[in-house]
Amino acid sequence: MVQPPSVQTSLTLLSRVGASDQAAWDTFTSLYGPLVYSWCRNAGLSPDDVDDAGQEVFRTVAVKLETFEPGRKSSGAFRSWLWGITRLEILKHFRARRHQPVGEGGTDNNLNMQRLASNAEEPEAMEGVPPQQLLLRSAIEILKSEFDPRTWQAFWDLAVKGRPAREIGEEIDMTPKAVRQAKYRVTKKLRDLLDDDFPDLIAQIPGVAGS
Amino acid sequence: MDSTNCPSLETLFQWSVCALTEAEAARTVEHVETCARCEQALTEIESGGLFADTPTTSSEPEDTADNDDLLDGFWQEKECRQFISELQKLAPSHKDLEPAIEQYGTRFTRIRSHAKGGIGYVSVAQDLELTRQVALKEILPQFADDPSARARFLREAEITGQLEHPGIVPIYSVGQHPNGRPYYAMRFIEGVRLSDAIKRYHANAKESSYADTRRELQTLLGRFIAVCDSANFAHQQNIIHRDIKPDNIMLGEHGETLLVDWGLAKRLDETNMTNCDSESVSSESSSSETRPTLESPAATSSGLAVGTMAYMSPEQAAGAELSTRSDVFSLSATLFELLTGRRPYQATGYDGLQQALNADFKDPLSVNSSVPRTLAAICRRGMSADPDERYPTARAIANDIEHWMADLPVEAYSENLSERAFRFARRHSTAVRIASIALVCITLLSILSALMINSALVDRVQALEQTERQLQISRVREYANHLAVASLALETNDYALAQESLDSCNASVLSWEHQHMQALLDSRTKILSAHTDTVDSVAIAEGGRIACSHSFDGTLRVWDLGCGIVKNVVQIHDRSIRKRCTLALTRDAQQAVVLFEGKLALWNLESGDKVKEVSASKSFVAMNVVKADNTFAVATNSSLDFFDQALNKVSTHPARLTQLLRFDLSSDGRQLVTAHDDGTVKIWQIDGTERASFQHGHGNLSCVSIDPTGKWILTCGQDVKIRVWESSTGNLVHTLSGHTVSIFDAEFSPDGKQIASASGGNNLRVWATESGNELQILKGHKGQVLDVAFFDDGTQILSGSQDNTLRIWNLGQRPPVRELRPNQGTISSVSFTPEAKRLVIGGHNGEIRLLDAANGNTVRTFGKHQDKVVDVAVSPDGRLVASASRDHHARVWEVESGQQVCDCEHATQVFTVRFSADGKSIYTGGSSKRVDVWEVATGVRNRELTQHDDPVLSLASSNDGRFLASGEANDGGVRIWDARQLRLLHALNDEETTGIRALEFNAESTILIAGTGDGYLIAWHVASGQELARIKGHSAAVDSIAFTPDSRRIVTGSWDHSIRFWDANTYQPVFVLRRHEGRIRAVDLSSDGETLLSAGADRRILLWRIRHSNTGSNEQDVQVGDTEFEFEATSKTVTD
Repeated sequence: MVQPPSVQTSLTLLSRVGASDQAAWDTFTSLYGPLVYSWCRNAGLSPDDVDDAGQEVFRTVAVKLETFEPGRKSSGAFRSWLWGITRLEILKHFRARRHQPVGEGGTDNNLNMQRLASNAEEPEAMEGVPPQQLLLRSAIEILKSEFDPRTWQAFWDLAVKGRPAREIGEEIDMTPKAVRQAKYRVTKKLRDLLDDDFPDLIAQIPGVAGS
Repeated sequence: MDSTNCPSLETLFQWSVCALTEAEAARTVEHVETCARCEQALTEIESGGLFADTPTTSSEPEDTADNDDLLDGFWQEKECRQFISELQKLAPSHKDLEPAIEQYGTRFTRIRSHAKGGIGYVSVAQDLELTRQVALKEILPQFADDPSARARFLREAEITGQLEHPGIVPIYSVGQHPNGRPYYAMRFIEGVRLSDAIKRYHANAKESSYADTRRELQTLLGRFIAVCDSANFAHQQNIIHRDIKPDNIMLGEHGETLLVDWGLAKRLDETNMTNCDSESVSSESSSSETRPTLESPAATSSGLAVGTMAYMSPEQAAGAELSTRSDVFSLSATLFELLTGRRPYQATGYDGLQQALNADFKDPLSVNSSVPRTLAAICRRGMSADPDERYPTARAIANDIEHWMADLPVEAYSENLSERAFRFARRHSTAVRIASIALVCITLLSILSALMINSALVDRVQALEQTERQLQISRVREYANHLAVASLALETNDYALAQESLDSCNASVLSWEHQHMQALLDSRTKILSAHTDTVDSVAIAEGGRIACSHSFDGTLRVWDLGCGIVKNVVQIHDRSIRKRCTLALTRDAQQAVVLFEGKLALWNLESGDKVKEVSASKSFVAMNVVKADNTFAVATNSSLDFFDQALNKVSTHPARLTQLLRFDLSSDGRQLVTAHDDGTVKIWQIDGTERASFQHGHGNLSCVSIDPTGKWILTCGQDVKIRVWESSTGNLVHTLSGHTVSIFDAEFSPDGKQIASASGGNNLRVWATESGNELQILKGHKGQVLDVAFFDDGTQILSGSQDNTLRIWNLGQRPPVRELRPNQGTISSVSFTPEAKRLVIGGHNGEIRLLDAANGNTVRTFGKHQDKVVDVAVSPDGRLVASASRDHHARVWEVESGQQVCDCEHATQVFTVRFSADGKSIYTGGSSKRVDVWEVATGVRNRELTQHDDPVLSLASSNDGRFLASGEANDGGVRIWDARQLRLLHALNDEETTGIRALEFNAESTILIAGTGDGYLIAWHVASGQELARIKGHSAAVDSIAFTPDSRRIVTGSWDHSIRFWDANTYQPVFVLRRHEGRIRAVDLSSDGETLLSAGADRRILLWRIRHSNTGSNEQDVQVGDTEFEFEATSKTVTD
């Protein structure tokens, strides 16, 4: 069994956000915004409420980020922390709506609220997409613009499609080593971005997993 | 390629997921380039793709855009993009999270940031006074206004202040920034957390030899034992830590082991916790039935306690009552991690809570089979679900571990005989050979236990040897910490905590400052803040415990006035409608009647439901409560109806009304006063006949009110005047002027004797109805005051303001701090006359004046010096005043007549003057480097005391007339003289000190205290001349010293603008007062101990009292004050 590798850089993004780096904040919101958005929508908030709740979530994150302790949890610690904040915010929204006339929220509202109140677990998937995948998508979206198309294709074909490096190299006129290095560079960035969720995303490679 | 150089499959995999170091990664990729075998293997690994379950698009033709496929999904909708761009605008400025302040009072300068904790921020700072580095802990800005976080922060200071133990970090001092934010200085410890040490130990264990591992374990266990001792010590003081975990244990560089973060600690004997303490609610009040949800602070407060859950006892997880054995559990859980490298509970969130509730942890042996069995047993026993089955004390765990370390049998683990014999044989292999195992075993054990008893005895003796003095010191320190916390709590309006801290003080050490703090607390107003927009309407329920407010934020809030917290919030309209409402409460305070936008509605404040809505053909314009029959009188512009508590209409007033704007009813409901569009005010009888009418003349009317007895009517409006009318005739009685901005509301007190008015000038005024005099002005709101209501008993009023807050004002009490501005320039010296009713002041304008201490009025001005007066003294009988001036003269005056008694001319400057105990002589000191003794009656210099080699700056004469002390201006020379024979007793020289600026004997004349130019206090034993203490007390010169009449405190006034209190027994700092804005030149305590005066370069005299007397008959004596502690000397009386 492969131990999840220890990630030295896992807190890079978070610590940059903590250091009030505007670019880091933009990346951070692009990365986790869709996840928070999906969580809120998935819980049954209206798009308008999602805007409010989401902003509150991120405001809270901005203020409390320094209280976040990664702890020893192997993966998803930040995500569960973020989920905790989001869940409370969603509950607050439901609660605020409780006193509104029936029709605006109604029974669905109450049901959603009860479900959320009684179950603290992070949803396993939103519209069939697990949260890690959602983050991966956001991260890929963010990174795509940061690399030249050839590097990107090398990464994409090698890391996502699993095509042989030699074959990719022939196609885009790179040595296999260059293909691998290109893929390595993107992956490294991806890893920095996804911090603690990264190990969860890694496919178990049969030959290695057994050893 | 030599295959022995090939990276392992695992390395290749790690390369593919970027988990290698850069160097390793480079090496690997270089190698793969040249090694076909590895290239093959890597290609194999890569063929799976990097990401599990990622929908790939390999079936599609090559298209670099194909990855867009992956980005589909509802989150990509336009809204989501919009959402994210909104989020990016939020971009927080974190700069303000860093403490921008570099200077902490005058004592500490920040050097660098050190660490951030849950609610605190730690910096390393230089202690300027003691030239050492300290850790300064301050509350993170985002928690500064969070009462529970602040309480937690301050609690740490309070609790650790009580724990004098080498394993607990001492707090050196508690202070606050000018913005009121607290900080405290602690010892700075460099080292690592136990959690990191455990990690390192287990990481190394895999590679190290057995012996090395065992040695390392012994070291860690030694540290753990030290933690047990610290916890045990706290337990003996009835304090439990509640958050013991490896993260909260610091291993110092020099072998010290410290249990830190006492923010959650709790006194076990605290039974009187108010329900405002959310922390105690969560941990105490929930029964086992009401399990804590994840929202409860214990579970998730700021997401931190989740980690702590991993070490939590079942009772703590359940929120049940805790004992010291709960800490025993957490200690054992810490041991668990130490032994196994893992936390007892792995799960987080709800599962973690469930595990903690059931003490559902794996056996340490099953987690890590290399754990010594005995230690595993210790761990299991310590973590028993039933507290009674755990070790009774933290020390007992330590005992068992010590026994194991010494290879002795332990309590938790009963070995069988062979194991015991084996262990014994291991230790005493030689002995085994020569004696019967059983015999020696028994003998040895008995010797050892005898030894242990001896060592226990030694411990106990040592404990007893802790001298009385040390006990006193720790008692005083504890007290000082309580006071500091109370003071900070008071400044931040946390009255519950302030009272709690004052109540926690040990009665044996109380003195003046405690009474003063209590007086301050009693006199303060309370701020109620929670609304997010203007508070426009307030109502108080019967009994005065509950109030309700309405705000432009669209909510009604129900307040528990006892502790100032919001009980309920009801959103009654959208916050965009920024309109005023009229608010009343039903008798039971369960429901509120709201007149808003012309409609009347009844709201259930508990459920937040609108119970009833009443509409009329015309809009309702005004509402009042009729106390006599508990009805609500509601008017349209042409009718007045009465509704019962359920808002059913019960009757209609017979008066024929037109163009009604406002109205009021006497409390018996028999008299009605109405105000109309055309500026008339009409008074009606119960049968609907009009009794009188008049023009109010205010222009726009804001309020009409009839006093509860029905005798007076008041009107007020835009013309910033209040008019009082006689209700029987409609005649104008008074016009009350004073407000300068619109008056929004005015109300009679329940007895009709006072009127409170709320103004756009951010203040309220209280007036006497009968005389029309202004009694008080209440400042403190930071916005217009829109509504005011009296409490039933008339001693307090409640106001609502544009600053989003409500305030409760205590009317009956006089602020315990008063300020006099004698307009005399810098005040160089002030002294109470013996009966404490008057003050003598000398100032830089050369005048000496006698002031009335009650009102600051000048009673008498004595003759004038040609130059600054530098010192004044009052004779012990209060008959005479002496002054010393730069004009080289010292003069003596008679208090009653103001006549000069004598004039003592010096050849050089005179700095100081004191009377002898019999009042027949004065002593003067100055540039002449002598102490001169003058006979008052004749003005003749009798003696010159010439043992100084430096100018004499300070003098003190002992109460019993036996001693005189004089201090030098430039170095530390002090002379103690026999005052009767004028003979030198002790010459105390100190080259290091820079001038003795103040000297004072204690009441018993046994101790002499000096204040020095560089901020030290030095104490000598008078009879022997022996130095008793030397304390760096202030950051600038100590210029004046006084003792409290109970002799318990030394009070010092300094050029650093502060007044400090010192325990006269232990010389520990106790308390600080900071209000002056310049050098303090004088402090004095009245002989009755009621008042401390201080004066100085800011040209003010402050009188600090320990009592807040209820306002007596003398209205002029009522002081003007507001909540910010800015008190003016005189109150303006209404001139009309």
